[in-house]
Amino acid sequence: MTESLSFKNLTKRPGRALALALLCAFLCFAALAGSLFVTGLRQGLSSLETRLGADIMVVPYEATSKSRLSDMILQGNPGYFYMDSAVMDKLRSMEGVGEISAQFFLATASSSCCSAAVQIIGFDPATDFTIQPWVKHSYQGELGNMQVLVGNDLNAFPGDVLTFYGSDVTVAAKLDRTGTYLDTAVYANPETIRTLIAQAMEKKIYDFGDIDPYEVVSCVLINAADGYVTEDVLNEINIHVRKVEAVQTSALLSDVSSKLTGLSSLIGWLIAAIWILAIGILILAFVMISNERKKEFAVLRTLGASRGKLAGLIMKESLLVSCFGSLLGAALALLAVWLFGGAAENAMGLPFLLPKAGGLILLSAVSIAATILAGSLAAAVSAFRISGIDTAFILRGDDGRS
Amino acid sequence: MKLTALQATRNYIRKREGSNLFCAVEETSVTLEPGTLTVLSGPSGSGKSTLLNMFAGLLPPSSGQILLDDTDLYHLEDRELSRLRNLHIGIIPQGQTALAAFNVQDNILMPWLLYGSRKNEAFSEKRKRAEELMEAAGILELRREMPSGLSGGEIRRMAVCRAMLQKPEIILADEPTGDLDEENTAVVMDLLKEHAASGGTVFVVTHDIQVRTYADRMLSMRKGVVTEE
Repeated sequence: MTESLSFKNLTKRPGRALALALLCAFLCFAALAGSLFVTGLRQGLSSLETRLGADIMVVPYEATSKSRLSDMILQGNPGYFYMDSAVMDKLRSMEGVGEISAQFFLATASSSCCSAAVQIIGFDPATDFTIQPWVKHSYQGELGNMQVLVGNDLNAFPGDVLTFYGSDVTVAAKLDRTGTYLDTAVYANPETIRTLIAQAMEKKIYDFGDIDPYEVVSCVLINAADGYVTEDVLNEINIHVRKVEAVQTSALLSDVSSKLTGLSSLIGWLIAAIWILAIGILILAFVMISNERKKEFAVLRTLGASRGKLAGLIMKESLLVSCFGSLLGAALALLAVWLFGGAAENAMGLPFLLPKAGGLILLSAVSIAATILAGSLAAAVSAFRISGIDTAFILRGDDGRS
Repeated sequence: MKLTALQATRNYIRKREGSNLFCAVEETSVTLEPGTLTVLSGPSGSGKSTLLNMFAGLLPPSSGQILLDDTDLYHLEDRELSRLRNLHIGIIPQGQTALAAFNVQDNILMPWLLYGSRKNEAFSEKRKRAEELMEAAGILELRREMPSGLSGGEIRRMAVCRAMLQKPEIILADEPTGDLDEENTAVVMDLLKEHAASGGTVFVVTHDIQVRTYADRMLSMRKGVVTEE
């Protein structure tokens, strides 16, 4: 019956119950939205590290103006740069070079799939070790000539025909979401992208200079061979190969990583401050409400309610309120992250990848449980106070604390 | 069941000139017998309500004992004492004591609802009992009303019905007719008198002279001392 008594007490005073529930909702919202935000950033970075997947990136010297390269890698700004493909042979022959594969970049002018220019990335299926492991989740076939794969954020689907620089390409598959610039890119094999580069040169939309599209690559990805130190291999490349710059991919991400650490820490402190404040308010609210209800509790004592039953009544009311509030808060947090996650990602210029359903459910469950626990702890203070009331004094209109 | 105060006293600590110790109930030995409506009268501050609360198991004596038959109430655990109060002692507290979130019928059923369920046969019997009591008290047509819509007299009659729901052997009433008109006083006191006549132990604390006419036994209290009239 005390469940019904608790429920009736809450519904009889909807304003008070709603205010407490909203406070709990705010707690849960802060916890879940904050956690999702931090987790999304961490997973985005982790995803980017995995997708880069190489120890060293070798690019033409002019591409190493840091902003240009990092804008492409971190923010997905479309771009292009080329170097002589002969550099591949030189790099392959160097000591300490293990896995090695070339990539080709081309920025589109416009396309039916997209409102803005997109990045086309060419990779060589015979040697690639960074893109294919991820591609295999969505596409197991061999990418044919004039076929492309599209990133998850692009408005194109398998079977669609896209036109780049007047050439039609067919979408073979749509890839899993990574939370990085790769989600807005298009992937092709070397033959296709060379054809497209040649078409782009003919259209003269961009200034490609005097290049032969069939004799260039954009970058070379390298893993150090077993037993070799990445830094040593990198130094060797920079010393012995002209007109290129070898960049350590971990260094490329270090700025993002430290930015992320700072942001995570700030969000962590913010959540902690919100929680301390909200729990304080909750405790105060429960105590004030219990004081206001002393007469009611005293009457229940005269009817035979034990001190434990009164404490249980308060705890059950708080449980109902915090359950409702935390569910509301969790739903709002999920909605907010779903609606505004992309905007936040763009505003920060950081990779962002939300956890999958299992992770979302787990984080939501933990936030809801923590909110209910906080609500119960806050209510426990007033339950303890009420269990010590002096019924006789309260019924006579005295203070009633024993 | 009989209720006995055995050499019971109750002191309070208050800031008073001369002495901090205030004795609300001097050493008192009195037994409330079954089948008797006992009325305790006396001026305000004489210790009447304090004695009633001691009998109710709500206020432990500073010394002495409160016995329900042979059981010392204040040697029981709170859970046991509360259950005993729920089943065997009906209390009509002073003032307005309606539970605002519940209608009249649920207020009256509350002693049962604290420990029982709405989903069994016993509940049907309790509801029938509540209806009988409401009819006797003249508030049956108000059973779906919320307390905020009732007059003071109706609320007091509801409190009497609530105290009698579990057919307790003992009823303790603190100013049950306070602020009631003659007609409502008669309704309330007839119910209590009927309970005593059927073998119950009824103890009424009052200022009301009209109530004295219902008494089987009269006690008075002055400055914490109880005397037989």
